[in-house]
Amino acid sequence: MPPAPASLHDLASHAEEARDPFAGRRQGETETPVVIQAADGVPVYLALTREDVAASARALASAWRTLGVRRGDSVLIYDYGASPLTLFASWCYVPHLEKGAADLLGAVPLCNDGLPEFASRALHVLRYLRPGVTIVDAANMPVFLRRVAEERAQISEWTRMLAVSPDEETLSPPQVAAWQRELGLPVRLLLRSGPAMFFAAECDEGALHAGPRYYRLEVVPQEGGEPAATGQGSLCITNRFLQGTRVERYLAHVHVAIEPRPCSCGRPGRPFRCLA
Amino acid sequence: MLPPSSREMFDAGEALPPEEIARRQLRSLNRALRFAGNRLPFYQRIFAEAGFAPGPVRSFEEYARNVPSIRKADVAGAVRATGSGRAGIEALGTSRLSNVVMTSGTLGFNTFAFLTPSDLRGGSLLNSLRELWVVGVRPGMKVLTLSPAWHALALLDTRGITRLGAEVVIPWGTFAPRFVPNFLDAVAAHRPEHILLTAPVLRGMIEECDRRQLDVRRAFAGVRYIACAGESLSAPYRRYILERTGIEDIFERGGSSDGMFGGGECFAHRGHHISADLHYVEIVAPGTGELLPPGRRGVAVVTNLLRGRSVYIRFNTEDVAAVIPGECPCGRTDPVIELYGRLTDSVIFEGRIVAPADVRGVLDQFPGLMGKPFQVERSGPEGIRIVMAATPPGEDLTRATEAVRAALGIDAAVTTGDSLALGWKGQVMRGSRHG
Repeated sequence: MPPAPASLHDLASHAEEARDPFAGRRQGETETPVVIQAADGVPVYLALTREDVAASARALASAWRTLGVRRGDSVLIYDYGASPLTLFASWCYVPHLEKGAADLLGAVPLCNDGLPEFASRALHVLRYLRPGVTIVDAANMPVFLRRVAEERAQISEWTRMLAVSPDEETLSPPQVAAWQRELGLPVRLLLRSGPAMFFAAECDEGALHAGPRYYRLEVVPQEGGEPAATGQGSLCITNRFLQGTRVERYLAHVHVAIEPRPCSCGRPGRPFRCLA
Repeated sequence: MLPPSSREMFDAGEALPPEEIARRQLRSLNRALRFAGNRLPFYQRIFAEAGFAPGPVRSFEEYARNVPSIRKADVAGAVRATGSGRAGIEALGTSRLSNVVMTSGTLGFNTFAFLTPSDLRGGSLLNSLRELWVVGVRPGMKVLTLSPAWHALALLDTRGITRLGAEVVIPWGTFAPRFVPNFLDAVAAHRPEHILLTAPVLRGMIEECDRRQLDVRRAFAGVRYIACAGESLSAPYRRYILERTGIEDIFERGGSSDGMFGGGECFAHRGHHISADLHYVEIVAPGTGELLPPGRRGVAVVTNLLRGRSVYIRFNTEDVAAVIPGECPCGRTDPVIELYGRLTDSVIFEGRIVAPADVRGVLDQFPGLMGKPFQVERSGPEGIRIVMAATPPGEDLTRATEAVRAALGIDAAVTTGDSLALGWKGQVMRGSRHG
């Protein structure tokens, strides 16, 4: 019988009570040479095998591909070096990885690190390196936009797309549309959840995709309810590729609608959208 | 007494006879000059402007005398001019580009370094392996490391740890004070044997233990070694860390992200072992550029002997440094370079440089002043003034003043100033003080 959905709060409570940084999710005696913290300020870690590290990079590459990252692109990541969004981007960002998302796609990554103080440095990189795609941690968007305004930077001349990455946050479509208007370039979502090693990216049609070979997605319509394959509710993620850490029915703090039908973009699996 | 492992080296390249090192370095320098003169636009321009025609160089003295040196401002100027992030120092050949990293923000301008897989699997990897090895990282060891992936050192550590087959624990965050409690929690939760971090973060972790009224030794139980990058560690501070944490040893890592070189200390703690087959480091007088012998303090000028990445030739790091004379007890024969701080943070008297490390070494003798940020300023023709950002109430600066005078043999005054601005790592931002 599948376990009941568990949220980050549940995992953190378990981690503290049981004095187990893996919150009971570590798999037996598997060799896990990489251990990463799942999220900022939360005492929950993931233990990863070498294959987990490689598969995490493939899952991130799949999301990058949905965003339209192309061979030869530079990709600026304005997020912490310890974030899964960054770690799995390059074979040089996390040990025991031979091909990161950028290596798999023929792109070149550049990490800015994630402090709000580094917004100006992100603009510096944009100005001089002209990355094809710029990924910004959603938490840094306010400071990033302020710097853009203060420097009167026309970033649409420097990058062709901005991907905003909320960490288990819901960003409303009107908010994203407002950023798009303000910056004058396409703004897409790259939703992530560290505790589930989850990445989902928005396609041209405005739907979010998480590769079905990597994840099984469900929704929990109301607290304590049974997960369903489609409909509206909290996103419930089962990670299919992690071996060192079991991620089954992780309840992300994000409200979504999973569509019953495939997306018109042609990607496999059921698309979903964030709800305000 | 050195531990037995102190004589373990990563490879035989670290213990070549000095004459062989010199012969190989001279050959590599000529190769680097030839390549730069033929292929790299930045150096073609610099050489032309200096009237230097890259021909065979027969001695290190001739190299120092004839080859123009460059500075960060030159590289930054070239980046501004090209507008492409490249300065014309990128020796990438036909290899695909793997990564771009930023150098430090010195002068308020980050330049960029470009790296190819061939370098990350070749010379730079070898440099990283030797550095990790010398600071005590071994296969199978559990290493807690932070990963600020904008910095070259993080990339090289990643590849080095992979090749060594060490396990890693990566907590969330970066080297800013707000993440210190989280790093302490990570040490307690995972019990690493080795930690790679910066000195301010280590200091912050111990302060955090004190705030939480934790026994520091219990918090660091299981940790054998710590290696700190980013600033020189004073002798009192090292003693303090060993005593408080109970670890076996603490190592300093140092070099320059502008200039893309570095190395770690061995168990003898005489300075940084710099791989002589990968980098050639000269110490020159700041004013005249005269090549200085071992033991004399000047600024470090580095030439990378690598390709497949951005290459720095006679790059003046503007870091105060000296080659430490004599044989190292660890048996390595490569040059040992000690770093003392930025030249702009130092005071130059005739024939003498008083650097931040000199002052740090004295102030760290006083528990209340240990690790506290400060700025050194010239005060009259023969003296210095040390302005501290903050000191604990009741700290006797008169005693600190007397200690600085006695240790450095110059007129000095230690004062406080509330107008020192601190950067994101808690460091003093030079030039930020007004009035």
